Amino acid sequence: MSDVLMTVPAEEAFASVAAQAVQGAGEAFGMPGPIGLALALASEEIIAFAARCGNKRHPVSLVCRDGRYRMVVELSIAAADFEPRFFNLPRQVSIDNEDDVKELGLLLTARAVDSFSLSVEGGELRMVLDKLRPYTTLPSGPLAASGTGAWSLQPVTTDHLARLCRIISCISGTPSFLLQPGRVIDMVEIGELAGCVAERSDGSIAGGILWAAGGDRVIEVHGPYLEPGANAAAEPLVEACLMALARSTTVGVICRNAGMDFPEHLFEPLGIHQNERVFYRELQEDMGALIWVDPGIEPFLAETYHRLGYARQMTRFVDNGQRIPSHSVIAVETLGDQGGAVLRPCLPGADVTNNVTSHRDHLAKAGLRWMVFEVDLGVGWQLSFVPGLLGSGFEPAYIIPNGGRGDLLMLRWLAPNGQ
Amino acid sequence: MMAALDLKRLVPGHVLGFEAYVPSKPDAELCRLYQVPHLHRLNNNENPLGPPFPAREVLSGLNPQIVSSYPSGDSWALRGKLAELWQVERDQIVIGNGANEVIGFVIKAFCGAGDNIVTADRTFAVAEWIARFSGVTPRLIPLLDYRFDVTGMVTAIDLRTKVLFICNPNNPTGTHLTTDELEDLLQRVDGRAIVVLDEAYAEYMEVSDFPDSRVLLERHPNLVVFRTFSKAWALAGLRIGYLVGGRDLVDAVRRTAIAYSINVIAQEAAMAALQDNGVHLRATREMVHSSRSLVSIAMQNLNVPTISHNGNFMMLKLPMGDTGAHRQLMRRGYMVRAMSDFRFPGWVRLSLSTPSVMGGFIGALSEILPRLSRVSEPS
Repeated sequence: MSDVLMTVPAEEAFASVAAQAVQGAGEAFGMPGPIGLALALASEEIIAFAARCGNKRHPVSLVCRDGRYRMVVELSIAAADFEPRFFNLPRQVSIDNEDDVKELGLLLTARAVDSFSLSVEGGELRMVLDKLRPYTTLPSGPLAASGTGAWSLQPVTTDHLARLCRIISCISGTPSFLLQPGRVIDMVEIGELAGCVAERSDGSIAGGILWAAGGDRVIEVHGPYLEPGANAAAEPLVEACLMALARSTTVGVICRNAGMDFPEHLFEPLGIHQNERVFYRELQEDMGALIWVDPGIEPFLAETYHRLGYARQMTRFVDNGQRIPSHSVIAVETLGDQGGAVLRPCLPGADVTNNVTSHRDHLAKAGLRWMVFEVDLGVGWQLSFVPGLLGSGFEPAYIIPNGGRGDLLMLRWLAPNGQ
Repeated sequence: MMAALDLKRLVPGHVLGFEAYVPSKPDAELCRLYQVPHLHRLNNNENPLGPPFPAREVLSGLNPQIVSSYPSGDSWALRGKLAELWQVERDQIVIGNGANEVIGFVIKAFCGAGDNIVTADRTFAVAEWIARFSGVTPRLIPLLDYRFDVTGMVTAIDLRTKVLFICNPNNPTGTHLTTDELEDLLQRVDGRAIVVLDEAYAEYMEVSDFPDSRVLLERHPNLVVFRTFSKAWALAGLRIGYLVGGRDLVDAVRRTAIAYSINVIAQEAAMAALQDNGVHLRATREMVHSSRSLVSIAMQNLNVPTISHNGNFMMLKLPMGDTGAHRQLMRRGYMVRAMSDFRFPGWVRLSLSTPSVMGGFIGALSEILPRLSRVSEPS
């Protein structure tokens, strides 16, 4: 993977310079023209936005990354002397001249790309824009066995992937990106996806399983996907995945798109994500932990931990009256292709309830059908968002054990029917 | 204000990418968290009978004054006693703060950046871990029928291979390489690499074809044998183990050994343990026999497959995730080892304790089998 790095002053005059560089990087990466252009315009918008609401002495760092199946632009701005709240997605800021910027919002930028995430980390505001390369999508069709006989488990290769995607295309409810063999091959080749197949001696495959290979603490598993009559491969494929991840930084695997061949008995049901059941398999022994709770979620957590057998000592997070900033900050990751967004608390503030409601309203108005708000139960101040979330129609959906510093509580909001 | 610590620059990549091992919390803390009055630790293959009688006597009669002086820096007396037992010279023995420490001594002595070690994929993990965080590549050869694959290991040797690690009998499968198989491996290695024979569970072996490592040591100068006082000898809390090998090989290892790392109490207790007249080991083996038989029959009745050969442990294949089963058993006061991290997903390793404790464990497992088989859904 290639990176293009540059630094420009946070001044409007330089926004177009950065945009040209982003577009040029897209061409050099061999991306189709519209991809570089969309990211260039989005980057220009962000720098101009930063120029209007920040300290112009602070430069903006850009990294353009060739992700093979996507192009990524990361923009970082020093948070010092900056008002992080200006980067709350719904905010339409006006610093000097309200008329100039009243239509502006990062929300517009977010909608122009496939994925947009914003976070505040280590004194930096960081925005990541992501635009996907278009690929041919396989049509669905009837699923038939492509061979017979015994199979053995093999690490997935690019040769296997086209055949595996053909199987996947015949199974309903699979994630859309798996219907694009070109993208899946590219993801495996750059190490973002790994997998295992059940291969017959004649080279045909009875099925396979894929998983994210980024080294995250909790990673997503897809599959197993099997041809008719190959159900016996389901459990060995899952075990091959778990063996591949043993003794790594990964503490668990999660499945949010369990298909008909998914061996549920090897996993633990966590809850419902958007509309799909969520399953989890832990890779390491859990030795108990202390977590922070809010009274509004305590019954849900008590029931969940009891059901799953987790030992958790719950401590209520209380406002001790210490000074907190006036304005909270929420990081947003919009997932254009899934019609939803993942929200994460960045900074606490006195306005959490209004801020949560504002995010919900803006994202819903932008057409998003679902939102998930992640609260890390290992980080006390994040619990200060919970009352506002519950009051804004978010409901506790499931936990991801050890998914963050502590367990992650996923609070879900779904658009009312018809929206 | 001081500059932020740039750990990405300071810490080598092979250390940054390594996930630290997190030991379990103390019993009192676990009992509090899991709300159980007592926790039976069946996860570390300890000996519930406790140390041999001579070691108990020494421990109970210790004069606290002895801890105010440094211990023997190279466990002089203990090495002398072991040298008598092994019929070798004192300098052919290195004592470590547990066998884990001597694994580290050997890797440091023989491996540099770019070198590799060869071991199995599903065996005691410490050699693999130490190699990884030392910048040495572990080549992991899959077990064949739950046994070390001699041909696979020999084939994996190249010019950068420095050490082969063989756990005999293997933890966690309990399988062993016979005298003939080990002799065959040593012949085929032909001095190209050091061969480590980790015999942590040798005291439990009662099969006639288990290799006599004393005889092998005489013939193979590239062989080194590890033993521990933590398992059958029941001195796990004192952390003491050792290696024995050819004089030249051990001379190289000693250069990386940490002097004074064995405390005085551990040295005294280990010396005393070796005075045992056989009563302790006999009682230990009898207990393991009885418990293995009890659990094997129960698992058959519960339709739970097992791998059970040698050592004071056995493996159980559960019809659910091993980590989930671990939690549910903890809730009932029994702590087993979930084996996903040993690359045995779905298996738990059970330390064989007294028959009465095994009876309680069987009851607890019986409770969770139907419970987890009917995976409860969120309400």
